[in-house]
Amino acid sequence: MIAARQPVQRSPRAKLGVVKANGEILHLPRTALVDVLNRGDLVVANDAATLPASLAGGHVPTGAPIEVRLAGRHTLTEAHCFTAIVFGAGDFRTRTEDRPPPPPLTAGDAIVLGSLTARIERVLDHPRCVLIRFEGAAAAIWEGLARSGKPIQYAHLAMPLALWDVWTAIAGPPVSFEPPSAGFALDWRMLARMQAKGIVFATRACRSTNRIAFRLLPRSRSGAGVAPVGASWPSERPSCARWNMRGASVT
Amino acid sequence: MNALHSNAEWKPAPRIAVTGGTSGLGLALVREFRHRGANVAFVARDRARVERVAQDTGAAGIVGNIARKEDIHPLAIQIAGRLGGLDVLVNNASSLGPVPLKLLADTECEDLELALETNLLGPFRLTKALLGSLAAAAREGRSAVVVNISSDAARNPYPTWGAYGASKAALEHMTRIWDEELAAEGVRFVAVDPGDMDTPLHALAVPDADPATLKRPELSAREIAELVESGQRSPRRKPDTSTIAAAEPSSQ
Repeated sequence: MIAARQPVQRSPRAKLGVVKANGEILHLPRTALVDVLNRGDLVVANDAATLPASLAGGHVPTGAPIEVRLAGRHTLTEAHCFTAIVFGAGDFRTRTEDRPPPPPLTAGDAIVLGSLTARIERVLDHPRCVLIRFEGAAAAIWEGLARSGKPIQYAHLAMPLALWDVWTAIAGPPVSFEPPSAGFALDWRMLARMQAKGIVFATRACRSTNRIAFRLLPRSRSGAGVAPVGASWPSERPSCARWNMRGASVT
Repeated sequence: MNALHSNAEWKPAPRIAVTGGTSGLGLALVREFRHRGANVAFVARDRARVERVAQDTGAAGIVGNIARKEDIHPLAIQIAGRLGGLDVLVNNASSLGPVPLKLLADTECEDLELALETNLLGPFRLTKALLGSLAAAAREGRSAVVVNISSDAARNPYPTWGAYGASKAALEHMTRIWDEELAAEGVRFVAVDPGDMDTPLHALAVPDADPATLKRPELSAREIAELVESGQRSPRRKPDTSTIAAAEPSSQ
């Protein structure tokens, strides 16, 4: 294996491992994914966008610098409560296993992370692992995470990762704490090729009754384009996607 | 929070993001979409104004500058996170470039860059960052639309409107290409020329214009909302015959 050392997730030289039915293993370019699939095959991709889940700050009772890495969320319906891993001083250039521990953490301790303040709800099954609750309104928490957080970094990379480095082409809901790396294999051209070949593509699953459930959409042709004022979107595509409100006409 | 109305016509309520949402057409759009019952997030640079509009409309206010590359992904996170996805993106925030307007030969490169960053690159970057959310909405059978606010200056070579006009012309053409390229994904793109409106931007460009001769931004907002609403009634279907979407969003 060649460890990636640059914050470039979309290398054209990236490989696709293919295990054939007879056990033969092939190393193909990522772009060959569509070639090894057939009409009616199903591709399910993780379209999670990556949160900037590394938050630098301080442990208020001791004044010690800490890094908090968000690691879990019990529900997507609220933004306050996260499980997290806490490190002591240092940054990503030190390997995770060599990072010093945080100061002793106790339920009720306040931690300040950029514009955010949180409290430790409880220490979980490891001295670094805690349940934290951010204070304030959900809007302020979203802003604080988006503005103060950085993507989780890796010691083997020479350069820090920016948010766009961890954002896959299909990134949607911001629910992941590290990039869903298989998603970097996909781009919109590949999705178009899948579409043309009749390969089914899906990104979201519900886990009712512990299985993935999908709903087939009705078969139909594209109804695309723009509409004049007061009209519905036309079933046939006009020549140009432009809507002029001066004359209420499709140009 | 002061939600203006909860109009039950849109089911499910579309999730709509508007850039430049604290003045002119953007503000009128935020109010109009909220009036129609949509879940709305808006973006603007000035925190005090964002907070005031959020308070007045019940929309989710987000502080940021779409002309700054570093702001785009934090904005996308907040938009998708606070709305729980995205159905409609309105790229409305605009810059004239040099103010007062200048002949192109007198325009500083930096002023042209600002117009391009705000009117072209910002919409491109934000759309790209949110395309996964929009395509996911389309796969779920919802109407996914990107509305790019343009101008007749995109087509008419008005003297002194060079930076603005060139950037809007590029935005319009980019809109057409997006629309062709994303048809298979079920995401629509449309460029809208809302007309000459009585807005702070127009007052900056033409300080001596008679407001009585200008279109009210509320009227343009209503027209755009009607376009979006008609799209909600007829989502663009993906052309492929084997399309599937999840029954409901992931609970993870």
